[in-house]
Amino acid sequence: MEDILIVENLVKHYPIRKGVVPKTVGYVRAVDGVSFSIPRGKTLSLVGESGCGKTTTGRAILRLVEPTSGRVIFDGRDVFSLGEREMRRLRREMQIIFQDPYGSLNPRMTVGAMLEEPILVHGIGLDKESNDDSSDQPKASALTSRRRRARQRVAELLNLVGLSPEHTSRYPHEFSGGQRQRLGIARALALQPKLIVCDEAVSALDVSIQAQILNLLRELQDQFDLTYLFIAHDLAVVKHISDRIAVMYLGEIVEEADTDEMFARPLHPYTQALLSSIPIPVPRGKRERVRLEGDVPTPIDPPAGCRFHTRCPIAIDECKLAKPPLIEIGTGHRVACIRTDVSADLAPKIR
Amino acid sequence: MISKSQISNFKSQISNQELPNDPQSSILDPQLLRISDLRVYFHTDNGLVQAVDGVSLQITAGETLGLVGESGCGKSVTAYSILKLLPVPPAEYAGGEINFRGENLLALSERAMRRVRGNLISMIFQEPMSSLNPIMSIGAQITEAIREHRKAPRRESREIAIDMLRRVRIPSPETRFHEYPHQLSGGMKQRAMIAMALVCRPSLLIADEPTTALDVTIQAQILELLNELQRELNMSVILITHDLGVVAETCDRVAVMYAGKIVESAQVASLFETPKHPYTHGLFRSLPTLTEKKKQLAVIPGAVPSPLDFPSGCRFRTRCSFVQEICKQEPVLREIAPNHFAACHFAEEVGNLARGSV
Repeated sequence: MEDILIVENLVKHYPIRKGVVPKTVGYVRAVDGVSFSIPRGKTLSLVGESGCGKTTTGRAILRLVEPTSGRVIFDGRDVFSLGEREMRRLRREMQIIFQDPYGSLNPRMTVGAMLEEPILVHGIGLDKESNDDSSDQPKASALTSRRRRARQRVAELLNLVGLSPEHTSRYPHEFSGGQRQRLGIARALALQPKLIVCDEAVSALDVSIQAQILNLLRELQDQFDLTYLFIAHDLAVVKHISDRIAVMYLGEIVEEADTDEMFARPLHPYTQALLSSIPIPVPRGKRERVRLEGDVPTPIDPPAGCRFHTRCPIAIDECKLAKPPLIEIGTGHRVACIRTDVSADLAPKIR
Repeated sequence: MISKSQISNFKSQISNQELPNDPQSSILDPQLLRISDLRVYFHTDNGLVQAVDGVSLQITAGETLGLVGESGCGKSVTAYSILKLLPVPPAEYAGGEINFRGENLLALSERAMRRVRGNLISMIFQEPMSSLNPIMSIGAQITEAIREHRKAPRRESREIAIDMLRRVRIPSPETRFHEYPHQLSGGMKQRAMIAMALVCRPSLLIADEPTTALDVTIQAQILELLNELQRELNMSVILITHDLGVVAETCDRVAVMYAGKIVESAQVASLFETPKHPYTHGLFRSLPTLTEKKKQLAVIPGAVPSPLDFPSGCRFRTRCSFVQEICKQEPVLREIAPNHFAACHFAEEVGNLARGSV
């Protein structure tokens, strides 16, 4: 299957500026050489703890933050080489859903106005009507019929995400958290995108609502052949929604595999620790736990060699010396660790 | 300079300190805390919100009780009520009793409550950054708690504070003592807050979503620490959370809340294996799990009703798949199996279903 998104060696460093005359004194290495690709219609999840760079990766792909270097090919086009105008056109096809549905909706715009705006600006989904009108009708009525068509489209979108067209005239504060996230999804769908970046899209929702939204995302994916880049920290959610998973630690991908493979045979000690740290809703279900000591080091001055060696339970001296390359171990299973011979024995005990 | 023996002497004084109330009562009542028919209402511009409406709970010494439910179910309001932390008005303690070692906390004066808070009952919060004072050093905040309740000399409180920082596994506690909250990582801040909460050796700790803001690997560390300290200090813990995984791994007993009421309570194993309320049952089914692959998750339809407009009778009936005419009458919380309570007219039938089925 053809890859709709190819990310090559993506880097985003934020300069740290200090002093009266600001001078760059260092860099926060938020994303430090990340590569992956997603086939059309599939879901890849980026997982990792706060500060690992997963959100920055998502935003850099959409150029919501300008990347430092690297290459992103979206549907055959080099995203980073595009000018502002071309970029705006491309953004129709790449949308994002944010974690906090309230913070990402304009509180002073009605749902209708909010969803209509991008449809009118980009003229998406209005084609049929505008062709009819262009022939002999006066311009003013062409505009109103565009409006009318846009309204219809808004009603369609609301239906699609499980809201009703009556909601058109309401404001975001009149909705519950789950409904607001549905609005966020409707807004992302308004321009008929091919790729949606879901940045912790269900993290803030209650369990019963989270299940509704996850099901909705799945249905929409099947219906419109959408590709998702799913950014999350909840591994149970990730397991449910993804075809493939990439685990990030301190700005780098440390392991990448298909979902079933990742959960059956996690090889990187960090992935193992992550998986075994999730509390599972089964009483007395005691598992072998890979315990990590301490906190994630600062991305300003990441450890030399393998960035995980400071917390790794099986690190050896060699791990401090050279950065382990991300190498393919099984089919489509890539891992950046030189101790996989040892960690492989641990893998089955994690589950 | 004070001697080591003086310090340990003082520490033992702390742990043996007698309660302000009659010690007899704690012998008569095996429960450390007994909440009966608690009602907490809020008077808002839009109307009366019955945030907690007839909640009864008990907790014995050394036990961990999980209080679970979705946002707005009243779990945090229940917890805040125990320490009377809600502003009155808009809040109103409209009824019920909170008996702690035989004394009704709701009847205590504000002055008497100050002797309870942080001393006999402590609380830790979800957001460590917003519950720590940003312009006071960690050490100053901990010693403040000691000096408030113990009138200990400055140097001794300092020693006790550092000892507590060590117990919560903060590396180099002597240095950290002088640091400010912003200098600590998220996990360390949560540890500092735990140190502050436990320094007076309370017999009850209320933990309101203590690990929700933390990453999973840090969450595992903190839960383990809480568990150890609980055993060391022999305290009871009320753990408020929405994460059923956390409950399964840390709690002895669990109470599930929905729309201001307790709908089910039981020993953890019993509740997880055979949930008897349709809401609990639905919650389990809507969880994505690590062990099974489901194409679609089962959902509880709709959303939690607005607290201004709860349905009459059973408050879950608008979303329940078992709903019948009788549900317009309020179900009482009754014992379905030994020590397993549920408030549902059809609890027996729900209990007979396997967890994964309809």
